[in-house]
Amino acid sequence: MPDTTATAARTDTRQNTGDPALIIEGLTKSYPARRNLIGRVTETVDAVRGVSLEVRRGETLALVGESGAGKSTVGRLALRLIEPDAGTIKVLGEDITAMGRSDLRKVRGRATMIFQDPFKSLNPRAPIRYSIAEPMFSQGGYSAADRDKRVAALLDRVGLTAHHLDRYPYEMSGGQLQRVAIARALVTDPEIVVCDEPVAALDMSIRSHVVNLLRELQKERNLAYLFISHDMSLVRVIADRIAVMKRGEIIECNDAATLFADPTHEYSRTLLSAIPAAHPSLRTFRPAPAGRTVG
Amino acid sequence: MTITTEKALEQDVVLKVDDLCVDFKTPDHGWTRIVDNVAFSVRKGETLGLVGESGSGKTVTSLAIMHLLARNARVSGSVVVNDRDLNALPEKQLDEVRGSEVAMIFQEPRRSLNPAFTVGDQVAEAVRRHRKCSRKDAWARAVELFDRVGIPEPAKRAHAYPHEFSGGMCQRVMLAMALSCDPDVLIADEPTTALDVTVQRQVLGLIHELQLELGLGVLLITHDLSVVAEVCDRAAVMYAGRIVEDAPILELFDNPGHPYTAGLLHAMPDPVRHAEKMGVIPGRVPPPHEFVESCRFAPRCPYAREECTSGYIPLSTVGTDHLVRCVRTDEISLEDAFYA
Amino acid sequence: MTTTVTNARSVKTLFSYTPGRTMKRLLQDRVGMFCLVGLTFLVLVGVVAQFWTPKDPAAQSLLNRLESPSSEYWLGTDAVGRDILSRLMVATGVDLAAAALAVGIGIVVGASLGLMAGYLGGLLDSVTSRVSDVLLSLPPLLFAVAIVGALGPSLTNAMIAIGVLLAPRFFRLVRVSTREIVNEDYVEAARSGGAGPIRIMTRHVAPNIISPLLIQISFGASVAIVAESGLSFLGLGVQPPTASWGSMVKEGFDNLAINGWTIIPSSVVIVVTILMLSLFGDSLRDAVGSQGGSKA
Repeated sequence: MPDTTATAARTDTRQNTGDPALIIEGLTKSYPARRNLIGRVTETVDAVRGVSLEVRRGETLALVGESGAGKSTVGRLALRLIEPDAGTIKVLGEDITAMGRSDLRKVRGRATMIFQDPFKSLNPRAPIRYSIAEPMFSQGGYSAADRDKRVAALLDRVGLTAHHLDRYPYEMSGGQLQRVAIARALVTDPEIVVCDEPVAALDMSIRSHVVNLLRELQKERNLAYLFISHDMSLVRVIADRIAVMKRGEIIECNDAATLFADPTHEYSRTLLSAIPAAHPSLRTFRPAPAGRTVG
Repeated sequence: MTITTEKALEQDVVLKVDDLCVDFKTPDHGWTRIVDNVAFSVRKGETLGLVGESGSGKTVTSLAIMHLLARNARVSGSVVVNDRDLNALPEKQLDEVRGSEVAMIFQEPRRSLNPAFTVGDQVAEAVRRHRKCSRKDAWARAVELFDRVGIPEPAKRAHAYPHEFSGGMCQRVMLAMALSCDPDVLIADEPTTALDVTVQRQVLGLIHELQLELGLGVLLITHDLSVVAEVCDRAAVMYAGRIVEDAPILELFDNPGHPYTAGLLHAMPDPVRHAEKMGVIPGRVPPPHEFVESCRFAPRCPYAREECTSGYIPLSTVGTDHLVRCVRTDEISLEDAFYA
Repeated sequence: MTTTVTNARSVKTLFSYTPGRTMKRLLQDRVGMFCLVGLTFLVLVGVVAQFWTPKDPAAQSLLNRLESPSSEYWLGTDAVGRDILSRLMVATGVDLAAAALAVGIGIVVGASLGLMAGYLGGLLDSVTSRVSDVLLSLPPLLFAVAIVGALGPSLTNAMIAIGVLLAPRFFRLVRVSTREIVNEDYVEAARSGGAGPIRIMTRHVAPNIISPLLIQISFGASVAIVAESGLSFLGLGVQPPTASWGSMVKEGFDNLAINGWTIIPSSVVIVVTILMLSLFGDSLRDAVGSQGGSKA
């Protein structure tokens, strides 16, 4: 099977994936759906129900599912950008579930996030220079020279040039901005990055650039990626392991190759079969028009 | 200039677009041409995919066909629906054609529906707009249409409001509205982009069924080649305001003639080929005010030579029904183009 | 694209938060620019009037009362023979300064509370919002009259009253904008980088509310001027012998039967100023357009 061979090949080139960079256990979060007249919550929506997963260094765990499944919520809970109702979060060995604000701030340098829409995740009134450097300002402990050096180095690494530094987001394209977002996410040398649909808002031809960049950086820095996506065909190419979410729960978590070859759960099967064909001859609605072939 | 000059005489062409140009008046650059001499045709019972990324002009093209552009747009060329050129019609007659002969559904179905009215009301209104019939009859037709598009418990659901529906259901409502007056042409602008994969499959399946049942001509606008692979009979690829390739679907996938098409095809994630690195098209789409007369893809094309940048390049025939806008298409092999 | 950036860069130093595109659009709006020039002219007149006027604005000349324009008195004289033109110039300074004061109070009180209410939410938000709602439901001029009545008639008190009047409007705008911005992805991104509330408020919220705030300021200034005129007309604002547009209108009004001209100069100036402020506010709104204001 060509699929497993490809995945196996990828496994070989991965560095030692040792310790888990992120462990979440029994994470739960619900939101108020209805309030009564005096404001007391009467009904809740369970966005995330008892989710547990683990991402190791150097690996990409894809979190897939349809909209409303709770994937983005899990991503934000993992970094405690939202407070969980229950469960534990361990980032790089440290339990951050109940950590105080100043300790949490230190952890923020080691676990960062890339958001879906680069036009929305960058302050339109701040020059690129500031946006990339901001995490260093927020966390403190970097000298001005340090900051400039890091910003310059990362800018170069993501394929942009110094004259982008004083630009504003509206002057740049989606692909360029997402690279800025990547630079920002890496400026404090994190060890785990949560990628929330990082290429969904980009054009097809630009996605490859960004995906390639992410993969190279992962190899160079042994990064752990929690890769949230609804694009199954992309996930198939880049994920080492896949966790399938439905209605706030993880219903299946497995090796990428295994999941695609032989999904255990009914829902996973439905998801996989819904992926549109990559070639007209593989379509399922009707046979490709005969007689209109190579001239 | 026209693509299907012979085919124009065929009876079953329901939509024929010729020499369509759209100019926008922008505050920063004055009048700029966004869509440059676009031509294609859709036959009865056929689905034509109009493929392009952002900046290609595909959405503007569809809006121009429906005459839905704002006043700062200038449209020229011809848009023939059932032997009538929409561009030559006065506004009042346009209103009649729009909806009854050509209908359109959009990308974000929830945004296209009025949140203040029930879905039944909205579809019934569409029916009454084009047919003289009583409210009761219009409502009955709306319920009938809901049933046809697969909305469960149609009579009951017709009383619901758009916010009570999911994205996929809203798109079905839009389809019901679009079909309410038996149009001959359905234009679908990225109808499934905002939807989940499973819902996308259902909606595409529905469009396919309806097309078979009603003999519609469908113009499907999308940036997703896999959607094209699933449902289209032909595809036209747009880049920077121009059509760069137009071919039957198998031909397009197996034998692309234009480097950009090859680039798009090879950018589709493939677990084998992309195990290490994905295929990349370097550079970016030029903004409209930077469009040149010669090949607009040349700056990004690894095969570009001097002849590509020296003058206007017309569409040329490279096979049966297969048009390509590339001077070097016969010389180059695109199998490994933009591979990785 | 590159030429746009270079042109904008020089202007960027003036408005460190506004990228070049808004400025460029604003500069191209002829109506807006004309109004801006006009308003600047008025400010200059007000400043100059502190040092020089054609005639002494307080000099009475009972022989030349209520005269129409002449070569000596360009805009005529008022009820006690004072030169209307000179008084108008001084009044310009008075009114514009007063409007600035009122708007200033409105912003300081309204915007700062709005920022906190929008960011922190909770009890603070509930309380301040309700207070703001109550203030907004009161008829404005009546409310101003009541405050001045309580504090005593004087221009300063009138301006305080108007400032309190304007505060809820600024509060509401800032609060809503803050709440919107706080939910934006880039604020979340900043938090994920470890940014604290101060950094978020100064670096992310404030720059993004400047544009809608500027627009509201120009309209607020119009309100202040109309309110001042009204209060002064009622004798509750400026006290004689200080001149303000409103008090000059009153004087002209009182003497309408004798010389219908004297009411005209001050009235015209009020109308023109309000018009220019409003048109300029519109231009600002257009220039900001989809970049700042709406969610397009």
